[in-house]
Amino acid sequence: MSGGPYPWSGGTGQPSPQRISFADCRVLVVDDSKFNREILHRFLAWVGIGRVEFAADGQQGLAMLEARGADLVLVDVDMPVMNGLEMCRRIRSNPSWSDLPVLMQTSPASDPAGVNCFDAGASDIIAKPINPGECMARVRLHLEKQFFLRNLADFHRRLESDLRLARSMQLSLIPDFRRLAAVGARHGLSIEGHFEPSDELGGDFWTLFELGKGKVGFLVADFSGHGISAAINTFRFHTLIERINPMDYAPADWLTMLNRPLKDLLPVGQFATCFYAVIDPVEGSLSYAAAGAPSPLLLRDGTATLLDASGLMLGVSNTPLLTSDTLPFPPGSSILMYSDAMTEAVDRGGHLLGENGLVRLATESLPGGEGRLARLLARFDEVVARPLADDLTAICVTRV
Amino acid sequence: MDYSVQTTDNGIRVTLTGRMTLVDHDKFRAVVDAIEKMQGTACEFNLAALEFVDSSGLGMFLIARDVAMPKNVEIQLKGAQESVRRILQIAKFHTLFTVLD
Repeated sequence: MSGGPYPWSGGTGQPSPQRISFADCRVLVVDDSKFNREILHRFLAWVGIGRVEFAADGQQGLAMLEARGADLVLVDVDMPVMNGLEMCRRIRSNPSWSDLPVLMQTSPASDPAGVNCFDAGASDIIAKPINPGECMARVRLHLEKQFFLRNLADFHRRLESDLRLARSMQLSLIPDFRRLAAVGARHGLSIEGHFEPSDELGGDFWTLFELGKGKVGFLVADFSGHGISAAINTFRFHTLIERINPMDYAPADWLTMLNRPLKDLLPVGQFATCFYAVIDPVEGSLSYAAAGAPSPLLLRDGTATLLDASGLMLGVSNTPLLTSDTLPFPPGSSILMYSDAMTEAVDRGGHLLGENGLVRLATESLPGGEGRLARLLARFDEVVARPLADDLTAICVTRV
Repeated sequence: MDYSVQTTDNGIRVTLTGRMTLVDHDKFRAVVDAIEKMQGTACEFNLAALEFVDSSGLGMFLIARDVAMPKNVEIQLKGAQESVRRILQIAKFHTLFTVLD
């Protein structure tokens, strides 16, 4: 099924791992016997090690390690000035050498199982008299291990910094606190937003539009899945809404216009649930259209009701099936829009919070002055078990 | 999520149990393979033991539908529990699938 449209198709197998180049490796041999140094040099040359350096005792070895570094150290135990065990202990006491492979040549007569060497922090032992094949195999093994560990650590670091950058890019799509305050002040609204991806990146998106004639539009979308692929879809979506402006369109008409390009763009099985509401403070109304979004919660005169936001998600069908409605939205009314992570959160007893649970929390915490969403989320955190399994977005808009 | 596939008189029955989420995509591949290979005209998903389905799970049903449609196989979603039924209802899945009690 390679190249197909489904999430599991199109893979071409594992990428071939990078190979280690022994010619680029630097090995430090620490041995007081000139004869042994020459023998070991020959073995290392057979392995293909490009750079071999020598020290005659532990102290000299440490100085060379300090000055030039090494990919592997091959140490004899019995040496004058500083023996191999002490040198190994000192290597391990330096955090930057904690992973450095240290192979110790040990004599079975004095340290049968190499216990003293391992105690000192050796990575491995090579028993004397040295067998060329064994010595070469162990050197190769530890250099390869070191190489793959470094690769993995580098990859991890790179991925981490990439994800951090991507996360800040995603956050920049979402209106910040200052914009919420400014738009709110211009239109007699109190606007609070919360955006929290469950991983570094998420599939939630929300934004607002000043539509003219005092109207403000709020768009909340949640792309299927989460993580990187869902996040990429939020960027595509953002581009789309920059191109297809909501100005003057009825909510259902605008979502229908967004649906078509999404249907072409998204593979089967990926989609966006969507809720778009236009608050008109002049008319005192709220018009909305929805495509399979969690039911927003309307709070009027202390009573919470759930709006019907069902509908085919955007990107599923060329003939979208949306729910739309217009309701009175007098001063003092609040609307809470949220992603499904809110109702799908699990309480400490293992039960879904559900719509009923959310209505209960909202009825307790939304009435009162500023800080409505903050109070609701504080209550939410008291009730549900963290971490959440999905991205959490919540927006609370109140006519003041 | 766990699944089992049985042959029925007019197609197959796929029984899903547990939670159906993003991590089940690879497992669901086998279900899609079964639909691709099946004989008959009906693929019944028995959802009675399915506790939860998230957006990725809904996406998997859409993939199954995409494979079933060219074969003229009808996909039935049967016996969903209340919480799953609510999710199917919000997504208006009755317009795409045959949803049965």
